[in-house]
Amino acid sequence: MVTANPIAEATVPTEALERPWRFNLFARWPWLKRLVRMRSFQFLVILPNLFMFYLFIISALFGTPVGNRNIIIVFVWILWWFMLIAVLVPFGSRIWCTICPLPFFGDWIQRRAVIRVRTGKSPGTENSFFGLHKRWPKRLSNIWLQNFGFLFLATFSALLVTRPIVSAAVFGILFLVATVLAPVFRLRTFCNYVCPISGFLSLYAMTATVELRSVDKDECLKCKSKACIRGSDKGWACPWNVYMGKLDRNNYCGLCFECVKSCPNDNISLFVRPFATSDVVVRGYDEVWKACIMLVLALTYSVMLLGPWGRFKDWANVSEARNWAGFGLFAAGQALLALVIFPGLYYVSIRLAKWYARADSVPTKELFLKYAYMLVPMGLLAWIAFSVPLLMVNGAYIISVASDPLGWGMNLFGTADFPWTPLWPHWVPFLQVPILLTGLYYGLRGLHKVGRRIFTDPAQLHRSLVPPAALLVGVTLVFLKLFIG
Amino acid sequence: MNATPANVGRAALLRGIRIEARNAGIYDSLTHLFQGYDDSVATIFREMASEERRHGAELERRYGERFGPPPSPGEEPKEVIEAPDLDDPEAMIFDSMDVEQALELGLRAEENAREFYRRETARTSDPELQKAYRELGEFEETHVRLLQEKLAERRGAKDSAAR
Amino acid sequence: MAGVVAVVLVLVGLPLVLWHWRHVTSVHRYPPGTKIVTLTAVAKGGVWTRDDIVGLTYWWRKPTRIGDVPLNHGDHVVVRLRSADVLHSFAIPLLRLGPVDIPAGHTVDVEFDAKRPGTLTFLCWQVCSPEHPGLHGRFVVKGNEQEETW
Repeated sequence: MVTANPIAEATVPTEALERPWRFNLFARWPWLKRLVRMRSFQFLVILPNLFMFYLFIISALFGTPVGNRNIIIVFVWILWWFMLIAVLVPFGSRIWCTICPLPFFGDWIQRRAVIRVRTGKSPGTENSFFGLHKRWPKRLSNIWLQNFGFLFLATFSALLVTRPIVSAAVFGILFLVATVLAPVFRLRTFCNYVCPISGFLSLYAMTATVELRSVDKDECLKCKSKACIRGSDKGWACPWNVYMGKLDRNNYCGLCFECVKSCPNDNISLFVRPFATSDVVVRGYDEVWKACIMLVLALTYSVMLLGPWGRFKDWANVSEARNWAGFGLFAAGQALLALVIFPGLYYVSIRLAKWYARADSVPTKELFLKYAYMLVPMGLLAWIAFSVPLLMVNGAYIISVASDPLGWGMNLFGTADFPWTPLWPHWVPFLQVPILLTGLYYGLRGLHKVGRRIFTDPAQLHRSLVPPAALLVGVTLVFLKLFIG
Repeated sequence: MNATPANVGRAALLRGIRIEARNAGIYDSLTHLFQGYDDSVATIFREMASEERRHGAELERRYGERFGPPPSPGEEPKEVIEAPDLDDPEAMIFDSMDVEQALELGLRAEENAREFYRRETARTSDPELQKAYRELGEFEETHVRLLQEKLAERRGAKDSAAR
Repeated sequence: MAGVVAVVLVLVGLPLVLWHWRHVTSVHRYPPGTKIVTLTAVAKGGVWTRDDIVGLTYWWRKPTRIGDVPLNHGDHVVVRLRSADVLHSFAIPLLRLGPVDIPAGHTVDVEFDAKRPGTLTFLCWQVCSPEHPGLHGRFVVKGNEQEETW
């Protein structure tokens, strides 16, 4: 008697994708998987952050108005900013969103629970959510709001990063907006479409060395429940509205790990992968403009906060200098550069690329969107190059403020009087230059990778790369000139 | 089960029944996902789920005629043929799913299934299996034509609205 | 439930701890009977004030200029000096006390004994703003008129 499966296992043939190496962290470290599958995991990692956030707000309101003696300025704009841009994003993707306290109360209102899962039938999910479940307007279902929000905040950055009360006001407003939106709109509408931090995290997470993905896409294909996005009794519906079955980039996955809990097939894992190699797809104009805005802001921040030009600092420091005409020039100039001039230069480089490569059959839009990826690693590394001296020169404030967070005369760790001590300031250019060149390398490499997917003819490919590559080199030279003279 | 011609045909039909049932379940999930979010898209998926169930019932009827009542469902089919799936993992974020895309999603799944059965018909030399695959392939062909008509109707309506 | 309790503990506990430090711990580290006078120097307006200058109020509330600070003869005085904005300093020339730097955002303690009745002028020794000349005040030590004064 022969028992045989008379029908061959059939799978829809999947395209073999050019994929760099990656290894499965959950398989390598089962304890990590057990940790993130704990229902209380997210709460436990958010709670300390909530405490810190609360301390920052109290310090800003009731502590010293002097920025470098108040924990909100020192810990947020020196320590947190550096950690976020130089460590968390490149090595952890959107790991900040995992522990971000801003949506905490909004989630609490929606879920009516801090830790456990509620099942039910809220629209589109298998969970019970409180609220009106309204759909965010289609016209705003992109990151344009975040683009303009971040640009608006950047215009007032001289105040934001030096005045405790301004920082508190901004975070307080973000916190309030997140909490108010939650009972009105579905899931993490605030995080997806409003939060200005989320906007740039989404872009630079593309370069990160970790990704949360399904292990076997065919398992997702066969899955009836789609619990990753719909939720189940084991986990909440994806707050980010992402479908893990086809997820191929980090942009909008907030690493909340609910899908790891809810997946009935245990098919989701955290992978480590090489830097700036995997997610190279820029999806829409909003993302292109985000890349342009961030790159320009890295430049203007460097000019304003690190540069020797007192006039620009005064223009930006409008509440002290009261030079409204100067501030207007600064604000308009920055906005024009970020929204019009630099995107215009990039567009020109694309048109030149098309012309030089004689690529009339390739739509300009396709090239414009796809080649914009080169701005992503370049922008991230430019921000890191900006942030390094910020930490090295001002990092000593972290030590003193840790002992006296409100400037009240405390001395919790005995370091309240630790003097301001710049750390090896003469080494700063030697760090900034290789960082910038690394950004250039990964930008060009990404450009080449994307170009290979469009052009099969090597000669045409290489000709198409020349103008955008020249733009990227030009940007790098501007930064180099700024940083090392 | 012995691999006799009858058994081969029976196994193929049974597999087809289970695939229809599985895919109906997937369409149910997609219906629920879009319900309250985009009801027009949810309606399409609901109709497709009904179609899958109807086809599953038809296959059960054919199975019943030849082999008696089908056994209760065992394990889920391992094949991914015909399994419909969202193409865009960020469709809900960017609100980029519409009725036309939902129909295209279903059409792609059905075309994949039809092509699979056609390939298997050509590949196998077993006449019973060939017959079973041909039958399933024709079945899928009706799905494909139905969805193509709906899509054409939709596109026609859009064009006249645009004019 | 444990989660909710933890959050409530944070929301209620943190302000309580800070309040306790400000009003109990920081006061009770001095010997009993010590007179604690908190003075904040504000460059904007050239003002010594006893108001609490904090992040919430610095930008919009005009601080109350200090009048005479009454002391009693024999008081051991701790002056808690704060700077609301820039580097200030503090000196009581008659006592040859200071100048003591008050870096921006820091709290610096200065102690003296009110040994005789009279008036002790204090001022900022560091040119801190165009309104620097306004940064002065007086301790008035009350006591027996027959006693030797400053």
